[in-house]
Amino acid sequence: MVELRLDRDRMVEASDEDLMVAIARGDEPAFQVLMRRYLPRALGLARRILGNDADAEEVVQEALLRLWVHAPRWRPAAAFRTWFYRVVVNLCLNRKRRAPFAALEDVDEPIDPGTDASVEFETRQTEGMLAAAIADLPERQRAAIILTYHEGLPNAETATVLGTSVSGVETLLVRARRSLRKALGPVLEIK
Amino acid sequence: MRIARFRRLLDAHGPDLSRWPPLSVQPARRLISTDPAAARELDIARRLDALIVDYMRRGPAGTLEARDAMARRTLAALGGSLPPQQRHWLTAWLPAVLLEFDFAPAWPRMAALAGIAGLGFMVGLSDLNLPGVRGAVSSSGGTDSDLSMIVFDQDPLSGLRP
Repeated sequence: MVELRLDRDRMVEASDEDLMVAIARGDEPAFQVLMRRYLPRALGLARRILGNDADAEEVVQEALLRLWVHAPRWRPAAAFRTWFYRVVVNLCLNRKRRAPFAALEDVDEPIDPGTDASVEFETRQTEGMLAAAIADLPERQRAAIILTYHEGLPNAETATVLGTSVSGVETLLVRARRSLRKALGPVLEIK
Repeated sequence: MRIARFRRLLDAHGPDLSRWPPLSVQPARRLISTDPAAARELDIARRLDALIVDYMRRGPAGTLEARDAMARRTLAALGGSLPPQQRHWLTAWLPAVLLEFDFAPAWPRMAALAGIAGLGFMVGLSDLNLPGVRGAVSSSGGTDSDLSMIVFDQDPLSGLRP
C-alpha cells in the first residue's frame, strides 16, 4: 500500500498500480508521472491502429481523461498496462467505425545517402505493400497484429486487451498472417 | 505432426518456436528436419515476421520529431485543469470494465426509428384517399359485405345480428 501522497522521488520508481492508487485519491502529480510513462506507447499504438496522428492524439487524450476521471473506480483485477491498452484499443476500434482508415505514409522518409538506392527503393516498395496489406486487414485482426508486433504482447495478454479468448486471438492471428502472406507472396518467395 | 497442424501453429504463434505450446515444439522440430515443405513454410514465416517487426520498428516519417510533437500536444491538451473525478456513491459500484466501452452515439438512429414509427402510426390512423387504394378497397369491400351477410345473418324474428 502507498501513503496518501507519493513524494516525487518515490513516484518515478513507483509501480503503475501504486500510482493508480494515488491517482484514485486525486494525486495529480502521480497522474502526470503515469501519463508520461504511457503516452509514447499509447500514441504509437493508436496511430498504428487508426492510421493518422490527429485521431490517435484525440483517442489517447480521451483514454487518459477516462483514466483520471474514473480512477476511484479502478480495481487491480489485471495489470494496469493491459487495462489501459484495452481502453485505448476499444476507443480506436469505436472511432474506426465512424471514420475510414487512412494508411500512414511510411514511405515518405528521405533516402539515407549511405545506403544503396536500389536496395532502399526495394525496401520501401516492400514496406508500402506491407502497409497496404495491414491497412486492408479487418480491424480486430489488425489490432491483434499490432499488439503482437508493436507492443510485443503474448497471445494471452492480447486476448485480455481485445476482450476475447486466447483461441480467439490465435484465430485472428492465423487469418491475419495468412492474408499478409498472400498479399506479400512474391516478395517472400523471391528472396 | 501433420503439415496442416504445423501451418496452423506457425500462423497462430509465429516462427519463434519458444513461443509455441511446449508439447508441440518437439514434434514440430522433427517435422522441420524431415519434411522440406515444413522447413520452407518456416522460412517464409520468418521472412514475414522480420518484415513486420522491421515495419513496426521503423515507424512513419520523421518518427522521433513527430512523436515528440504528438506527445507535447497531448500533454498540452491535458495540461490545463483536470475535470473532477467521479466519486458518486451511485456510480462507485459499477465495474471498471464499463469504462472500456465507448458506445457510438445512438440518437440519430433512434430519432430515425421514432420518426418512421410515428409516420406509420399517422398513416394507420388517417384515411388515405388515394385513387389506387380507393379502387382496391371498393373492389374488395363488396366481397367483405357479402361474406358478412352470410356469416352474420340477421335473426328473422328479433332482427338482431349475432
